[in-house]
Amino acid sequence: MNSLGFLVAGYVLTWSVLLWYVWRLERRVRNAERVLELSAKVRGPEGPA
Amino acid sequence: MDFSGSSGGLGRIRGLGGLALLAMVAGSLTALWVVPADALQGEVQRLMYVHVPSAWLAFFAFFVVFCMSVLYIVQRKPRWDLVAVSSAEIGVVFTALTLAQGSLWGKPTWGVWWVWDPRLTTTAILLMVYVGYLMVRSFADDPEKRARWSAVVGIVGFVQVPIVYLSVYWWRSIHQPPSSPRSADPRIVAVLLFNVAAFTLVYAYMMARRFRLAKTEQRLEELGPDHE
Repeated sequence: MNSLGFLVAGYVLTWSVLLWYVWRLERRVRNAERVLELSAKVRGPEGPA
Repeated sequence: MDFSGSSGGLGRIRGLGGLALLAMVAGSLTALWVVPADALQGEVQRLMYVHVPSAWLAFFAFFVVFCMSVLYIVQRKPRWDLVAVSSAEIGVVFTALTLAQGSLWGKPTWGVWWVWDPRLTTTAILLMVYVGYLMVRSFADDPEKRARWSAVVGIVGFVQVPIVYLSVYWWRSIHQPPSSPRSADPRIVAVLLFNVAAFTLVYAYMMARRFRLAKTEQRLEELGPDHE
């Protein structure tokens, strides 16, 4: 691989890691919020039985 | 920064994410096509425009962990622990990225992917310290005990940050020390600073979302084990 190949690999790696982390973070936030919503529905307005 | 979960707050966070993405695109385009290549190293030197911001953001993230850990020890407010763990996780991502980018720069420049150089070795230790910080949290079920242990690691572990920074001055290192902005082409300095700003926006966006996750997980934990 020549110098340009390493440069391209570096930028592809940087963008891939950052986008992967943001995507994974958004999925984790959505999942956690869904569990919280579902548990609120199960408990009802008066809290746990 | 608005860490609230309100729809207005979420809109502002989405706006911050959009701004960070635009800044990153502009930063990469200018680094790859606008600024001239280094006379000695050639094209591969352009990796500096993502390597240096990644390293600085890792340092900054761990500085936030340190400050939040001190605040937690003093005030015992769970909020500071949640900010600290959010910043630690993002700092680990930036540190791992720094090492990988450095390796991609090292192979064509030094002829090796990795060398046990003081800067590289201390950075690898830094990564292990904060991976350890995240692991420590899984050892304690009690939130108060977990926050206290983490705060101690967050304070003691930060000692590694100045060691990494000063390693190129303290020991014989093949890694170059930071260049003075006065000795560099002003275009190189401007593009580097722009990329540091773009990475900072990315960090701010990640922090807002990671803190939101930490808050939600805390509420789930308060509800009991059936809800986690």
